Amino acid sequence: MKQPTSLRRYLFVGSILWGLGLLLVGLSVSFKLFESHMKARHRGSLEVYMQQVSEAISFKEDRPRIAIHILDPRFQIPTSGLYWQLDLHSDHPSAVPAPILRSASLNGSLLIVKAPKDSHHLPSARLSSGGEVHGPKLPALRQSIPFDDMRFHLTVAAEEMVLDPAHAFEERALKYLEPVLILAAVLSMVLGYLSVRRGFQPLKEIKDRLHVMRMGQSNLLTGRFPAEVRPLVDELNELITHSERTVARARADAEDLAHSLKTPLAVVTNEAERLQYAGYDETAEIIQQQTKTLRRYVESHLARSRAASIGPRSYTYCEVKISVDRLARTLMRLHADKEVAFVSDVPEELQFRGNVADLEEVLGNLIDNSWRFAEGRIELKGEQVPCEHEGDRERKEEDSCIRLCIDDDGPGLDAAQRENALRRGVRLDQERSGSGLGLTIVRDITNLYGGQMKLDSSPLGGLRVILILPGSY
Amino acid sequence: MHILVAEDEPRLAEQLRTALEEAGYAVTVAPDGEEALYQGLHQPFDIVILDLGLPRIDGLTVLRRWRAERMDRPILVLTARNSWHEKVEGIDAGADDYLTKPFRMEELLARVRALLRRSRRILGSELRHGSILLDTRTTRVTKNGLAVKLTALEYRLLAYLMHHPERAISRTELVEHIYSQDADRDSNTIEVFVARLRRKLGTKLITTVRGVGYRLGDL
Repeated sequence: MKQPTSLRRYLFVGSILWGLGLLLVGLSVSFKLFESHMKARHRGSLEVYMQQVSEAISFKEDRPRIAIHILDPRFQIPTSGLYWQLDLHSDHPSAVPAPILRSASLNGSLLIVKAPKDSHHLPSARLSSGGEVHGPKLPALRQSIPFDDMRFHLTVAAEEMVLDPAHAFEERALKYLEPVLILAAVLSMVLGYLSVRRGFQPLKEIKDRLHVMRMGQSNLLTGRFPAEVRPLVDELNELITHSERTVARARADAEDLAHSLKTPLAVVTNEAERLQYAGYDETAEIIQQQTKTLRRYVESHLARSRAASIGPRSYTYCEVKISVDRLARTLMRLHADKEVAFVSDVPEELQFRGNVADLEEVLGNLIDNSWRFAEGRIELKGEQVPCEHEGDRERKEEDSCIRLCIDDDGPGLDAAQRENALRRGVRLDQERSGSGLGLTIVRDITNLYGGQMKLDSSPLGGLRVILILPGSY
Repeated sequence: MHILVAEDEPRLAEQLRTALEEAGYAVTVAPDGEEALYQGLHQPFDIVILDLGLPRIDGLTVLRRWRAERMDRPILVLTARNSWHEKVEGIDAGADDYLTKPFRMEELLARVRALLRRSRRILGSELRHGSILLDTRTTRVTKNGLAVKLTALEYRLLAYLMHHPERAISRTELVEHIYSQDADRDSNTIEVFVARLRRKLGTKLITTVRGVGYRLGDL
């Protein structure tokens, strides 16, 4: 399945495309507007000059004459950039014009006029002398003047500088428009990126808060969030609280039910014992077997309810050393008749990522086992180690694990016994007290936390139990 | 030896009373936490069996308040809750031993004996005074290897004296430790039991300490 795209990248690419689009549209619209504005101004100016020249032309004795004094003085200055020319019409389209009258500014040159592509464009004219065309294309206007049976063409042409003295400035302005628009587009992209970043800040904040929750420093997502994100945070908090409450209630209900069954079970067990003393061996045995089965059900029910509340990505932490010390005190009291040196080496900062009750269940069972079998010494060493996750690179980089190693100087187990010991409910020493559930409970809890449990021979001569459990981030 | 049993389930409380009395102990039952708290603070019990799931005041609170009031009797906690976290809580609150339900009565009796021995720093289940041997496990008493038949109250009186061989014990203390709370108590009966024990085990077994009470005599 295709991975969903990052929203941030999606919006950022969107803002770049938007900026580029705006730039292109802005530039092309500006150029178009400028061009049509220029044309309109040129046409307007040329019409004024055309009016001036046509009014100055009169026909006397079949000849056209011009009243120079009413014309713009620039028509009189050679190569001033403002020209007029009166030609006799020729039916041949490519005929060289035969000027009858022309402005002094043409300085002997001719105006060669080229018709426009369409009515939106102006005709263009170029200067020509000695059959050679020279100079730039000039905007021009052409007008037919009929006289008797003859037809004349009056052409007015001017350089752009003459028609629009501000033209150079406007062209320069247009040159500036391009970088200004590019800058505006870049700025809009940067602003787009910043607003996307700012817009996504609350989501990053939620991620950070979740991290704080994982560190066990907070139970809920706290902090100030914008109105759009607040409902999401509230819903998340509600969900976390609800799920924690449901899990806790389910666990408590299951435990209460299981524990409330134990008192009647105790009564029935004791009655069976009394029956046995009274000689009703067969009845007593049946009752004892049935109560044993019931007890097993209760224990497995309790284990299942515990399992339901355990997840490999737990939010709570507890200090290993505190639990080890508490357990050592307890076991010393419970095994007061047996002198055992319990030596622990656990750094104070070592943390287990999970429920303290689960850690104490695991360690309590293991140390209790060691105490039962040890000759006189138990050693417990705790340390932080890198986790060995398979495949999950993100978890590998984020997590750290704890390694707990418990050694005793008891009889130990050989390889076959060690393998056997981990099978559910198997007890290796039937003569010592204990339900046989201890090691399997330890293994089950360890598995639920995604940890590992290994048995080995100890340098002290007895059994070595190695536990790998999730530690702090 | 007088034992306080704090247990709210009447049937289980009765089973405990019967088994403990058969084992030679005087038993008083407290059916809730309030009663247990009061009894524990006002009666000199030799050992307490405390259920943690008591009504009115829960067992763990009772335990903490006893220890806060410097009640130093050995306490065996009896509970349906068997997780190590809860065991640690119980022991940290001041319990001396922990037994989870359902349990075998034999195991409970063994733990009671072990706690009593530990509190008196006695090794093994047998108490010896001269030629007299008292086995707390079987409640058998022998003299020169021959079994001597004692009534329950005679046994309790002898056992209490043998657990405290170093000092003289008043009649009141003996009454408190051999009778259960709801029994008819009469300190004059102590003299009757002492006379019977002297008759069965020898006149020198128990010496009268004038103005104080009784102690084990030099055999």
